Amino acid sequence: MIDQDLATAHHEAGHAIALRHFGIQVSKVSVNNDGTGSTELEGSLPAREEDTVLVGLIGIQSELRFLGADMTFSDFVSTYESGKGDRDTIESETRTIWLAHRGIWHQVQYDNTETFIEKKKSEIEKLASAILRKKGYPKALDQKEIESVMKI
Amino acid sequence: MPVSSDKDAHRNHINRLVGITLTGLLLTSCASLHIRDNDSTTTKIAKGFIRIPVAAATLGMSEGWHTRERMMESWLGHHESDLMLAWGSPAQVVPDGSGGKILMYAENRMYAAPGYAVSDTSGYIHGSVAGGSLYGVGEAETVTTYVPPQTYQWQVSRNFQVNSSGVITNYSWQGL
Repeated sequence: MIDQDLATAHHEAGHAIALRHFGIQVSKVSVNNDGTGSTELEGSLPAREEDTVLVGLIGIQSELRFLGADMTFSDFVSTYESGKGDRDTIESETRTIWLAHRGIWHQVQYDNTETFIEKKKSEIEKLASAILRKKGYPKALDQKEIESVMKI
Repeated sequence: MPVSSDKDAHRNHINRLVGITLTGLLLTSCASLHIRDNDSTTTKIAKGFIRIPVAAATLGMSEGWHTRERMMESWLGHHESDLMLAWGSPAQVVPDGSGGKILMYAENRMYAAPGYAVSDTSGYIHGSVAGGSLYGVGEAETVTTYVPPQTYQWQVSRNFQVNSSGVITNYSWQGL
């Protein structure tokens, strides 16, 4: 489904652009046919804790920014609190969002991520677009392909 | 019976979550993401969290799917007037055949993916040493391909079944 692909492509593109911004190589981004996706990195996470949090939050916040017509950040939080979305990846990621929302990471983290997305909007869209153009599933870009798209 | 404070309960909850995350990490072999004892709680959580996108395979539907499902579910038991106050009038109302009705909301959505350029550089270089000097010749070529913008369109629908008392009893939806 194209709507699912769009959401996941922007989600993963957000992770990838943030990682690259912090100097971390992204070896692969992919979108699966069930609405899930993954971003694979090489090396260590950003040294600063708040940067690592940004890398995490940006997935869902990108999804919301580009495709969340009838959803808010609070909707994601309440999804976690209701015990829904409790399958492996989804719950882990939503759990982090929930922790952020609860103030363990301050609202400023959410705002920082929004600001980052605004600055990197065109890069996120470009990478998401390249992912979407791949034929079949998983729609994946390897490191070389990511570099080819991002260097212009 | 001792009663834990909210703060204690909150801390216990976080510890449990970190525990779950740690369990997940044991399945990985990515050294950079190993949680150390001296990591702060937030770092532990962040590492566990960031490990997720690194995994080669993930399961289940996207966050968006679950969240929309939960959003629809949250309307169950509410009166239709609450829904209309929040969402406005439905695009269509049809009888459900059992004394109730179905409120149908629909919308066409569109997303324009931007065009982008892909650059691929290839080349060669040959070198030789003669008489103490280095001679080299090389050539490189960059091919740039432009991928034009593309527009995606899809339909979104949100339907609610309402009983004869005006209470929402069921729902269905399609499209993110």
